[in-house]
Amino acid sequence: MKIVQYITSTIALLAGVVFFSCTDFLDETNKNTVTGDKFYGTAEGMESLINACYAPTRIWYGKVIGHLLTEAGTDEMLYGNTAAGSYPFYDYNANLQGTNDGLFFVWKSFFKGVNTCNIAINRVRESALSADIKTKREGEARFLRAFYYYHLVETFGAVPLRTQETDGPEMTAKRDPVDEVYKLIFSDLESALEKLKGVTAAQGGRVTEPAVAGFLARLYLTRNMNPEALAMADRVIKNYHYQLMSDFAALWDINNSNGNTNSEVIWFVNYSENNTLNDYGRYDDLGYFWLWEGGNHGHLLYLPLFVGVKGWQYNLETGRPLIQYMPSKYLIDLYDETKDSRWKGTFRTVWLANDETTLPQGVAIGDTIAVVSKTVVSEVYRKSKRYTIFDANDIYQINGVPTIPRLRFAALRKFADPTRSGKDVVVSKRDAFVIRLAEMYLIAAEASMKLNNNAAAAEYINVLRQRAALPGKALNMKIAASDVSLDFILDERAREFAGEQLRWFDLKRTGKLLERLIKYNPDAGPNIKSFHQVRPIPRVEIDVLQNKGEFVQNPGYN
Amino acid sequence: MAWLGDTYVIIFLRLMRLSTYQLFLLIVFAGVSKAHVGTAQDFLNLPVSIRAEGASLRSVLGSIEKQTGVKFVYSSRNIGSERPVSLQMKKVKLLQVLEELLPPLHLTYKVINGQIILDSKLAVESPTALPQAEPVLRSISGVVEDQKGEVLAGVSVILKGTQTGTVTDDKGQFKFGIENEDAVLAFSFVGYITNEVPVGNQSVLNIILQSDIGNLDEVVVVGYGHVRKADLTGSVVSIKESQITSTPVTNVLETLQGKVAGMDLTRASGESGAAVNFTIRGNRSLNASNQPLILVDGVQYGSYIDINPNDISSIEVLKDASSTAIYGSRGANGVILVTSKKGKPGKTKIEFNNYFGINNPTDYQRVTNTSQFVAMTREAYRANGQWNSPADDATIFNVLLDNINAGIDTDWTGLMLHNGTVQSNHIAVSGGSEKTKFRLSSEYFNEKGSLEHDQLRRFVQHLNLDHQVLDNVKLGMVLNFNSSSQQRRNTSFWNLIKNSTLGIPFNQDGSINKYPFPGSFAFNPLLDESLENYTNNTSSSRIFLLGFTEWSIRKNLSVKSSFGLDLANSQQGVFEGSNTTLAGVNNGFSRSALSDVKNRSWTWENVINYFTKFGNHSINAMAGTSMISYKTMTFSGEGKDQPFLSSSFYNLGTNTKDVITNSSLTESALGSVFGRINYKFKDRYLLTASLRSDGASVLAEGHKWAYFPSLAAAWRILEEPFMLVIPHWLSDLKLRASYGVSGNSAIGAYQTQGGLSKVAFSFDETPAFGYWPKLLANKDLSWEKTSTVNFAADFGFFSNRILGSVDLYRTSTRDLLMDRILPSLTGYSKTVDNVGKTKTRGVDLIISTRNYTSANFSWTTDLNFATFKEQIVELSEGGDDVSKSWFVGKPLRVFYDYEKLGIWQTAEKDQAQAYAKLPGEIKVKDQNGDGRITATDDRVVLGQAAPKWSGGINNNFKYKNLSLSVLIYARVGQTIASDYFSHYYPGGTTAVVDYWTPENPTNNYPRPWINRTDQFLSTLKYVDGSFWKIKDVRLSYSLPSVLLKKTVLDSLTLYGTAKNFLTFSKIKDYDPERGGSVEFPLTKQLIMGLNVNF
Repeated sequence: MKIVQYITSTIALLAGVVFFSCTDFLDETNKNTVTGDKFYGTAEGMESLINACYAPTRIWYGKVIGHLLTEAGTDEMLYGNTAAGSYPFYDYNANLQGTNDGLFFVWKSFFKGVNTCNIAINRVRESALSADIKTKREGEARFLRAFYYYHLVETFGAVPLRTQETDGPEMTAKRDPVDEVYKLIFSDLESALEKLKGVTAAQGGRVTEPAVAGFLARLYLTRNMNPEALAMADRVIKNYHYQLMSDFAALWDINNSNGNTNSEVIWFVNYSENNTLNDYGRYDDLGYFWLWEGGNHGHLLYLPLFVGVKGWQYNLETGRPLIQYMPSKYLIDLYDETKDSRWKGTFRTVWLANDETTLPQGVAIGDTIAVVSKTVVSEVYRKSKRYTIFDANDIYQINGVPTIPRLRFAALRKFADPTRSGKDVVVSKRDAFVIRLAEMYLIAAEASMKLNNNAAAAEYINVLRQRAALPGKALNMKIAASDVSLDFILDERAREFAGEQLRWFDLKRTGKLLERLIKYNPDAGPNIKSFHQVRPIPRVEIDVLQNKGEFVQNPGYN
Repeated sequence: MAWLGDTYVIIFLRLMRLSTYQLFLLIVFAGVSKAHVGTAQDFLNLPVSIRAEGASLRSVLGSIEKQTGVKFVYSSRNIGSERPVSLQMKKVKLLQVLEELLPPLHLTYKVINGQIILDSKLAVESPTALPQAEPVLRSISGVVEDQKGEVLAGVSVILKGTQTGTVTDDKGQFKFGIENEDAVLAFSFVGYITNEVPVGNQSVLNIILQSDIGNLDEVVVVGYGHVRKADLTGSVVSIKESQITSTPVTNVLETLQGKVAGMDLTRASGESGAAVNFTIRGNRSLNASNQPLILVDGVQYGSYIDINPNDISSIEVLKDASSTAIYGSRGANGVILVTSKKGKPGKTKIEFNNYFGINNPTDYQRVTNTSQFVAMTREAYRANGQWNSPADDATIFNVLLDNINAGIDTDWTGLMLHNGTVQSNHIAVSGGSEKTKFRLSSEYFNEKGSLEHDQLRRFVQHLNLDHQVLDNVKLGMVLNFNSSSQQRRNTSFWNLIKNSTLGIPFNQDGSINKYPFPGSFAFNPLLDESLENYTNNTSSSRIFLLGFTEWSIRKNLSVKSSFGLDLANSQQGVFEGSNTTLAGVNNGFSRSALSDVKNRSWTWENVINYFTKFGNHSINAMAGTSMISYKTMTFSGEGKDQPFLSSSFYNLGTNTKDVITNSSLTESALGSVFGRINYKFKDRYLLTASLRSDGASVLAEGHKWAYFPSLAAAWRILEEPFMLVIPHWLSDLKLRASYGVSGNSAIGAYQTQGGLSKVAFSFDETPAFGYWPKLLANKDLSWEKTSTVNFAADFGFFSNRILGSVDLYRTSTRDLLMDRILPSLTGYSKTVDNVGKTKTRGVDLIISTRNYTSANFSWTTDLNFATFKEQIVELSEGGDDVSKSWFVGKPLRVFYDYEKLGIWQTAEKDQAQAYAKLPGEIKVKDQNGDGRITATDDRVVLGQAAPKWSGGINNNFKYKNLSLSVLIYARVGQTIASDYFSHYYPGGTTAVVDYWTPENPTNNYPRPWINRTDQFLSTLKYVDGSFWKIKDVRLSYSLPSVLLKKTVLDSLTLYGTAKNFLTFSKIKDYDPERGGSVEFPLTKQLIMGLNVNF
């Protein structure tokens, strides 16, 4: 059959052509990336993995969501005019729920950090790094895993404890008790302390021995392990090269914003002048909104806007006002500006005329144009000045509730960065100070007090108060052992650390969250409940799990 | 809609609210009358049994008609039909019966046009003589021609209600006697629409028969071949040239809207050059694409068809698996075959098609104006106890007060929305000889959207060339070159509607006020209208080249090899100046970015075809191989702070900040072997079987290959002898059944491997980039498979004046390729996996009717209707996936949220308190009644995104040279999530709604409350998106041929089209086809066009 021959030979020919080529035609080679199995075995690969372990620190320190979870809803800070979308964090209203995407962002970013650390810890010993480096890198990864878990466990309560890298889909999870999580945290930190022994010089943001020690001191205090906290804080104060800056304001000068060279900074999250080294969100799929460009964003959040003040315009010097936070009446009343340099070191209260186009008659560029006063000013005094005064009564009502529209108030200036390349520029190179020496004194003080040694506590506190004293006021600043109380320490912490992303944890640790919010935060006071001491677990996370019945939401949230 | 107030319009609206069902019934049963056409073939061989003892000739003929289905045409008097005859024959061929029966009666027969014409011997002996007229009142004569003026011989002319009749001779003439003036003559001919003409007092009737486009001899394009419509076993809808160009569109697929049952198609937006969203028979896949495969002349093309609609001769939509399985792994979502036009031998023809139109944005949902804003803001502060009387205005409005007092009320939407235009100029030259045929065409297309500078310009060049090299070897090529430039605008409609009406857009000197909003440093959105300040230009070029050679080895054996190459390059340049509304996002700097995408794909296919016929069997076999390779390379760069405004995005190197470059390469391949057999027995039993084996590079090793079989059968039941008893109004009936499996591998490359992604970090100023895992590798990733069962009937009534088909189908998809969302605590957000099952059941109905046809006037209707029910059958082990709103037993895309019951009223204060709510806040349903509202228990499925049914009715009216077509399209039962209705943030501009106050206890919107954002705001956005619209109205006039004869022109048509002009829905000022978004509302178009051929 000729036809059959034709057909068979043609098919055979065509099929042959296809299959011959098909042997490699369907092979897939990804030239865009490599797989971890191949890459992490190499020295460069392991170093890059360790670098990646650090990346999630940047979603919290110096970033919007990190401030929201530590400064909003505390006794220090109230919401400013434009904070609308984040109200639940400030006033604990019923919308503080697991559906908040900021909480989910923190959750997934830190767990991504945990998984990355797990990979590093599990594989570093098999990598091509030199033995010495291996030990250090493992120490760094262990510190970071503990660091992420600390934030997770304090924020969300019981969380799943994960120590192995994820190698396949897992659709169930369980929440491990807080104590179990802390066991891992302490074992990691104690191991890191050992592995990083001798790494005491600043490492550009890498974890060092004193960084681990400082963080351990904070955590011992948190867990009420007071002798350990005292010893560890003391070790940091005495054993390393750190020194308090003589001038509190200089501590926050942009020229001292490099954590690597600032003598008081024990550990920091590094930000770079080159924003392509800052930009976390663009390189991954974790979400972009909460990162909003790279760099430190602290400088935006605490600034007022003097709407309606003629002759004034926000500028590079005074910063771009995002009007997210304003200080509470409690906070500004804490400072005695007559003796404590920390009032001026923390807050800007004077603004100068700088807008030619709206300049009122008789005022020159550079003249004072607006002043915020923490006291009440008389009408007579007001009229005697060319500039506008916003006094305590203009800003706060008698009950401490700010008057609307919450636009004008004292500006927390700690994060100011006048070296940004334009007045609207969001990116700041300012490093986010995570642990500084002053905290060690206050940890030591609090631990001493709890160990019934108020005299020692007063001594530690006085070191900071002496540094803060205005010239000639050193004696006035000094406190006695009898002055020491938990509330005093919390007040002192507010004066020292206002805005430094510690407050919510401080209040939670000392069990004062409810008491102080009811007392000092008129927005949050009416709403705060005991269950607010942990945040809701992100709703989508529970939704996706197959054992929803076991992985239950924190009480009080839905 | 101002015209709503008009009384006439209200009446009109009431009329239009006749449900589509009613309209459908009206059309189907209106004015359809009986006629008859023979369908028998080879019927002289049909078996007949006769037993007649002195029966009348008429009854014998009748008996034969019953047994065989043939029709006799005769004049009773002429043949003496009442003469008694005697005959006994058992199971002999009809031919034999006639030979036996007729000669003794001195009768002869002629087979014309499937009918048997009986006449007396006399007529046969002198063939030019017409049958003798009876002694009658009058004699009627005339000529029958087709539309082109050619005479038609053999047309049967029958006196309606009788079997009396004649046929036209070879000059198309007929002569006939009638007895009274009520007589109606039916002229019928295969391939033409039967024309019934009342005789009245006329004595000469010149008849023109319209060709019947619903004809069963029509050829339909299917995968790797063609098939007669009558022999089709699968579900294929064919859209012909005239329907494609009847509506001017940018993307030719849009012409399918409302014309293909089971195809759900909506316009994506009103932006110039916007894409269309479409699915065939619903969604099957949760994650992989649900878009049908689109092929142009057999080669895969993207979903955006940028081919000139005038270059397309037909579009076939393959719906069931027996039609699509031949495309294996790519066929699961249906297949759309686009066939380009070819040249025809003969005179060189030139056509010019031009149109121009105006794009008018449909009504826009306006936000609160100043007085509404003031009232709502006061209420919002009052709720908080901060406003008691206008004396408190100064505190709450602050810096806005001056502008409020000055009565500023700026309509930003009005300032920014404009009328756009659309224009197309097309010329084509075609012709050739028997050996070489060509067609060459060019199109220039220019569309301006509703924002300033929103513009798409396109130039398309098309060449189709065929040459017969040897007697049995043919070469051919198709070349489509497309070059386009699109200027897109900052999609700032959101900003647009949020902008405060208190802003002052212009300075007194007429210049743009940079900061129009009091107390805010937000930029004026009008600044974005300048091209120097904001530009976003994409220039693309695409070369689509297909070459083939076809070798007819023998008469019934041929081989075709084709190679298609698709090169598409596009470059997008963006410049955002430092004064745009985007400045905030860009840190106050300008931003320039340029990105290049280069796509290259090639397809090489070899197909062998074999045909044979023996006895009653015919077999058509096809086998082939295919290799497809895809490659995409991207390169992009961007930077900030461009020092020279004039450089725009042309010199990225001068940027001083944040310079970033990126590039990527994606390659994938598909290799296939396939075959198909079509078997036909006795012209009425049809069987098709096909098998394809596909291998895809994107799948995991060991899972790359899979088989996709299909089987289909059809039965042309009307051809069966036993169907003789059927009533004669049934003119066609075919039953079809098919089953097949097709696949979906529409996932990105490299998903089976996992990989790392980069993250930025630094120690001090030393770069410390990190690489961490991005995707969890899935080494078992395999095909998603869809099997479809399809049962269908094709039917024709009244000589096919009503033609239609109904399809019932059920598709089941398993091993869904899905982004399995992982708990984030794993460190991963998702992985791609084969999990879950879905199914879809549905009905497609198509009906075409010729309601009235006469020489001067005709009315035809095409109707289609589709309904389907999608369902998720199974997801990964744990059932529902709440995070993605996937629920077992529910459709694929649903809206899941709390169910709003209303607003907590003052009287319900205590109940509200139990839920921690205050009067004035949204009340949602406590689904499980546990006294708490929790996300786990109280959210429910509120609606589905896919319509419950959709359909279209196209009515065509033709009166002499004037024709009118009206297309009505309906899409019903879908819920949309409206951006507008959920935009409710009192204190700023918001949706204009009926909100709660203690004095206005409404249940619509919550009380404005300045420091309390309602927890359940999201429940406000779900609205019924059902609509029906008069999609197209086209009125055209063709110059009469009498006038054209004196010119060189062959035809000249002038037309006007109103597109998307009237939409009826429950949502005011919004076209719900847009799907809920406020960006780029859909436009209405008014178009004038001119088509000239010579």
